[in-house]
Amino acid sequence: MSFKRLSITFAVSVFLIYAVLIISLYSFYSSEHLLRIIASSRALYAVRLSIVAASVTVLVCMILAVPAAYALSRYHFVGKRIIDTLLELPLFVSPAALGAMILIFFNTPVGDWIQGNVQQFVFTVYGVILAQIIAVLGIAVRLVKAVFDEIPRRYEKVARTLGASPYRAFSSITLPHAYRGLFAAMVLTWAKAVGEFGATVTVAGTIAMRTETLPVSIYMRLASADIEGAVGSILILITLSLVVLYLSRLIFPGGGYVRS
Amino acid sequence: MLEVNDLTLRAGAFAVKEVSFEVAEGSCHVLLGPTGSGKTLILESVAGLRRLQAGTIKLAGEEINGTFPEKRKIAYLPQDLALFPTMTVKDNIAYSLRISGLAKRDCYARIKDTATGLGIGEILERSIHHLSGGEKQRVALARALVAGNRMMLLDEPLSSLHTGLRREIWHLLQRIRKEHNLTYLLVTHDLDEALFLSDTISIIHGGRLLQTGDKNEVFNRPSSLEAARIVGVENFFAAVVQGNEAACLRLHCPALSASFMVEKRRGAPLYQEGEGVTLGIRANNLILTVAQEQPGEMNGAELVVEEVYEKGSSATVLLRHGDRRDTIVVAEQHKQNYPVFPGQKVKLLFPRENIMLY
Repeated sequence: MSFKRLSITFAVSVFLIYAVLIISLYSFYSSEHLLRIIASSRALYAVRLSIVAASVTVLVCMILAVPAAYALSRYHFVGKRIIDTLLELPLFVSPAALGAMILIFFNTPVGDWIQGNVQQFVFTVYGVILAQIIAVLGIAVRLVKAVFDEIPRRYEKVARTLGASPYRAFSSITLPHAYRGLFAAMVLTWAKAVGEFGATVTVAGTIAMRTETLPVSIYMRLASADIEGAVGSILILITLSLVVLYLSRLIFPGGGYVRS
Repeated sequence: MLEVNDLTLRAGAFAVKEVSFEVAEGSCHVLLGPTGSGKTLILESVAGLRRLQAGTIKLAGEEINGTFPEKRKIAYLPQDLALFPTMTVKDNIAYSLRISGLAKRDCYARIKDTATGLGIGEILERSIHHLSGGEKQRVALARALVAGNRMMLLDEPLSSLHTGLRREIWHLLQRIRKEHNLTYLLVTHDLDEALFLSDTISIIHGGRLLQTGDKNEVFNRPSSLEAARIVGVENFFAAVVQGNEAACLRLHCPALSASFMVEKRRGAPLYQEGEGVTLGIRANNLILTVAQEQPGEMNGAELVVEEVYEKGSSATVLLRHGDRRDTIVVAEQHKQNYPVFPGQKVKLLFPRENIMLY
């Protein structure tokens, strides 16, 4: 078998692994049951909460990630290597552990004060958003940094000699150059946030119609042996993610991080 | 106009140390040196893009060490020109005007004359992805000119162009320098480019300044062996001082079995008899002849032609002495003078005024 055929075989195998899993859902599928689940107020709440929480998460993450990633990409400063390493924490530490760390923080005097005087996070929708932010922020910074790393510094250097301040060089040259990559990073962060479960369930719990995102809904339905209901929620989650990914490909057909 | 004094900076493991030179207003100063010698670091320091460890940079008599790049009024053209890829030609050219707060319509009116003067008036609406190499050069120059900067830093901006276009851009650079009274600080490792464009040259090697001065002085009188190599001297031979006379030195070169009389130059070190020196001479200063008997035995060597590389009307001739293959002499020869062929015995004359000693 040629190398080309061998590599294509592996690509098809990867597709088949996921295809088999999706097809297997049909063993417990009934269109009548699915329509009833989709139309239920509980499922609609889970969809709405998942979309809203993931969107807020992306917004907050991007506000933090863009300047942070720019600093990590462009400047040398004390502690840069430590920060760079910490960004991979969510990849290595399980989401449940991250959630537990958030809970422990809220049991410290500072956390307790925040809960009492600023905002209650534990077992609330705010807890869902906070858990998602903690789980995906590192990855968002890593994705955005990769975008800035791809853009040569000399554009900004030339812009500076043409009269632009560092901020103006960033906003007029680097940002327009990076918008495709930033959009891709937003979509991936959003998809990761929508699917987040471990940290969410640890911080916000499994309260129906309150902290019930789609992944939490799947877990709750499975726990109560509602297999058809779980299948319905899984199909909604898959459809939602695929539609977003498809639309993002439609907006930027070529893919790629940086506009060349 | 520009004075650089004892410029010292570090970039990773590499350091530029105590580099000083001056660039007169309206002139072109070239930083000449091999790749990785620190030329670009010096240029970026002048542009304000790198922090100095020591030294001063003065522009029009005013120290600008602490001045931000956007306040220096010094244009910078990097090797790949760095045209902004998300903008059209006209937006690239008008960038500095837009930054200064001028309305788009006024910007475009202001850039029209400059663009037309550089022959790119017809391509203003194009994306920079659809430009030829020459057009890109012109757009980058227009962008720098429109910014109103009178000092331009050019970092090997012509290195990616083919020979014909490079020469065309050389002429363009000279024309706009005179028209706009611009001052250039240009980095190159191309000796032809340096000699064509420069008024003065600084030779940089390993982060250090080897020599600075008028281009003819630097070209004809390189101050060190390294400087001589960088300004294109092809032939170097070890020799021993045999006699020290009033105006001349007598040398013997064992590798060529030849003796030479060399003129003493003003300011040259005092050589002692028996002292070892290195003798250098350019290939095009050597005189190749097939005549065996020459008046006077000095400054001539009997050699055998090893290879002949024809280059149109001239040829590069490699010669060796006897069976020695470790010493090869390179000579440039007009083919019409003496056509030579491999294996032929010839005599090579070293004019005393062209011999350099180190």
